[in-house]
Amino acid sequence: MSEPKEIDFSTVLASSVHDMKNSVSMLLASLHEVIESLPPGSLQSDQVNSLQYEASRINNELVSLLSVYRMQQKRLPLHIDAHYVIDVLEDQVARNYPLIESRGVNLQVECDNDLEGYFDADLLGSVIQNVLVNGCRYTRSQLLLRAEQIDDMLRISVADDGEGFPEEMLRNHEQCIPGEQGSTQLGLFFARMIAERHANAGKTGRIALRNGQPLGGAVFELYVPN
Amino acid sequence: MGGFAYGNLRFLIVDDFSSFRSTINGMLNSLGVAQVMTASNGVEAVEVCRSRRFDVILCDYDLGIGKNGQRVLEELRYQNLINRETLFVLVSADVSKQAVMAAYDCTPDDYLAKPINMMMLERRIGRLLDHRHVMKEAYQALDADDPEKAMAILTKIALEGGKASLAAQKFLGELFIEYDELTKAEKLYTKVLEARPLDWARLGLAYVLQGKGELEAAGDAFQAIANDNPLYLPAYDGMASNWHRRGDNAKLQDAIAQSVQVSPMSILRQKNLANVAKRNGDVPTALRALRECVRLGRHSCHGSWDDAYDFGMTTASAPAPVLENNSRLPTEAMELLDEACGQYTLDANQKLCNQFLQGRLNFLAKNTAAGIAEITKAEEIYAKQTQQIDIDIARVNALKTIGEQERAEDLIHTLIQYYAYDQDALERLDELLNEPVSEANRALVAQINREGIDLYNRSLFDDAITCFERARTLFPKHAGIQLNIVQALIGKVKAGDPDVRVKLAAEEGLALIASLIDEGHSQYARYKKLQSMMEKS
Repeated sequence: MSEPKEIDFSTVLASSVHDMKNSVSMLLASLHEVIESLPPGSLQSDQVNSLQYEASRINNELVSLLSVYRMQQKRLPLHIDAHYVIDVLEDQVARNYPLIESRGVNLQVECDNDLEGYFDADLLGSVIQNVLVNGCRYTRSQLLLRAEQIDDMLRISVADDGEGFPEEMLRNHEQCIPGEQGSTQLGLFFARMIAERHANAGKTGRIALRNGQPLGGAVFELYVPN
Repeated sequence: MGGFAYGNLRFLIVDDFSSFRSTINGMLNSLGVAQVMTASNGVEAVEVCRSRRFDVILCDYDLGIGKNGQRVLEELRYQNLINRETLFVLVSADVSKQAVMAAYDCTPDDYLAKPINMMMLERRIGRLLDHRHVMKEAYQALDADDPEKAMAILTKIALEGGKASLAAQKFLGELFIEYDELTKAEKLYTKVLEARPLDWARLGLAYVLQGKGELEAAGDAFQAIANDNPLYLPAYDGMASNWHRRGDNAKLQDAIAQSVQVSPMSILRQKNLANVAKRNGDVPTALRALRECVRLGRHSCHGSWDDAYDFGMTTASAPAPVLENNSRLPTEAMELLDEACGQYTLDANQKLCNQFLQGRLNFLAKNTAAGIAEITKAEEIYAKQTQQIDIDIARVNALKTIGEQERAEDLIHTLIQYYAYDQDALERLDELLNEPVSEANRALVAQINREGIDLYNRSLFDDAITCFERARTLFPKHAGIQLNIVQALIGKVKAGDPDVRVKLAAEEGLALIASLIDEGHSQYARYKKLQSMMEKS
C-alpha cells in the first residue's frame, strides 16, 4: 500500500472551517427564530439564549481563524478608507443586539457623530464584534463602547464592570502566540494583527488591555493612526 | 435617519432557503413594508425583475445550484433590468466581504453578513436609502445624459460635508476622469491625498497622469499602488490600460494575468487574458483562460458558445509541441463544444463553423477518416450558403489541418479578391497570412518598422530589436520584419557585441527567412545581402 499523499493541513483546516462557519450561521439563524417564538423570561428562553451565546462564540472564533489564515496566505485584503466611526460602532451593536438584550446587558455607545477615521471598516468591525461578545460574557451588567480621537490616534474601547482581565493576561498578552500557554487567545491575536496592519506616517496601530476606569472592570483598547 | 415611507418601497428577497425568506419577510413587514416578493434562485430573480422594478433587492450569495448572487447582479446590470436607483444588497454567511466581492466584475451597493437581525436590517436599509436620497438628483442627471449637472450636484454634496460627502467625492473623481476634466480631478485627488494615501485617490491621480499623456509616470504610479496593496484589483486594470496605451503586449498580458490571479471568477478578465495571450502567441495561457471562460460562462450572462468555439479554434491551430504535450486537448475541445451546442442556440453560420471545427478536432484526435468526412460534408453545405468571413476562415483552417495546403492557399487568394473592399474581413484574413493585407495592419507594421529603423539608425540596436519583435508577435512569418531583426542583430555584432548568442539568433533568423521566401519575393535581394554580411562578420 502506498503512503498517503502529504497534505497541507492549514489548507484542509481552512476549507473545513469555512464549512463549519456556514453551519454555525444556519444554527444562529434558527436559534434566533426559536427565541422569537418563546415567551421572554421563561426557563426555556434562558437555555436557548445560552445556546445562542455559545454559537456566537464559535462563530467569532471561526471568523478569526479564517481571517488569520487568509492573512498568512496574504489573501486578506486591506481597504483603508475614510469612515464615520459611529456607523461602524452602531453596526456592531445592531449585529449583536439579540445577545446583548437576552443577557440583559446595559450597553452605552459614546462617540461624536462627526468623528471620522481612516481604517478598514470590515476588519475593525469584526474585532469590535469579538470584544462585544466577550464583554457580554464577563460583564456584570454594563458595557461601554467608546470612540475618541487621542492625539494622532483613533481609540476605540470596550469597557465592562466585571472582574477584569486576569493578572496573567495583562502581563502576557503582547507576547502571546495562539496555542501556547493553554489558552488560545485567538481573538486577541487577531485583534493585534488587524491593528498592526493599520499604519500611516510612521505610526502603527496597537491594542491595549487594562482594568479599572471607566466601569471598574476590563477595558479593551484598540488604537489606529488617524 | 429614517422617516422613509416604508409602505411605498418594493423589496425582493432572493434565497434558496424558505425559512430565511420568511424571516426577512417578517422583519420587513414589521418595518411597514407591504410590497415584498421572493425568489428561490437566480433564474427566478432575473425573471421577476423583467416585469417589475424594485427599490431594494436582498440577494443571498450562495443560492445552491445555478447562478450565485454575484452572477444575478451581473446579469441584472448587463440586461439593464435594474438602474442606479435600485439598491442591490448581497447577503452571505461568508466571513469577509472583500473575499467574495473582490473576485468579481461588479460590486453590489452593500453587503450584509448572516445571520441578519431586525436592528441590523433597519439600520443598513435606512442608511442606504438615505444615501440614495442624497444622490438621487445626480443619478437622474446622469441618466438624462447631463454629466455637467451631475458633477455640479456632486460637487455641492462633497463640499457640504455630512455623511454622503465621502461617497460623493469618490464618484465625482471618477466622473471628472471619464469626462476628461483632468485639472479638476487632479485637484480633488491631491486634496484627498494630503490627508491620507488612500488607494482610490492614488489610482485616480494615476489616471489623471495617463489622461495627460504622461504614460510612463502613470504606469509607475499604477505599479506602486499594486506593490503596496497587491490585492487591490483596480491597480492591475490601470496597469493593463497603461501597457495597452504604450503598445507593449507582453507587459499588457502580464498585468491582466495578475488581475486574473486576484480575481479568478471574473469571466471578462479571463476573456481579455485569452485574447491578449493569443495575440502574443502564448497558446498555453490562451487555452487556460478560455477553459476558465467556458467554465465560468455556464452561470454567467457573459458566457456564450463563442468561448467553446474559441477554445476549439485555438486548440486546432496550436503549434505541434502544445498538442504533443497534451494529447487529450482535441478531445476536450470537442466535449466542450458539444456541451456548448446543447446549451446555446446556434444560427446557420455558427453551425457550419462548428462543423468545420469538429472535423479538424476529430482529425487531430486521430479519428482521421471521420474528421475528413465531416469537413467534406461541411464543404457541401458551404457551397449552398451565403459567404461569411467566419465560415471562410473556419474552412481555410480546416483545409490546412487535413493537409490540403494548395487548396487552402488558392482559397485565401480568392478571398482576398472577394473581400477587397471589406477592411474588417481583410483584418480577419491577416490571421491566416504571413504578411497583412488589411490597411490597418499594414499601417501598424509600417509604423513599428519606422520606429525600429529610426532606433537602428541611432545605433540603439537593443531598442530596435525590441521594437521589431513587437511587430513579429503580430506577424511571426513576416519576411520584412524578420529581415529587420536580423539586420539589427548583425549591427550589434558589428558594433563589437561579444555575446555568441547574438550571432546565433541572427543565423536562426536567416534560416527562417529562407524557409519563407524564394527568388520571386520582393525582399529576396535584401535577404541575400544580409546573408553575405553575416558570412563576413
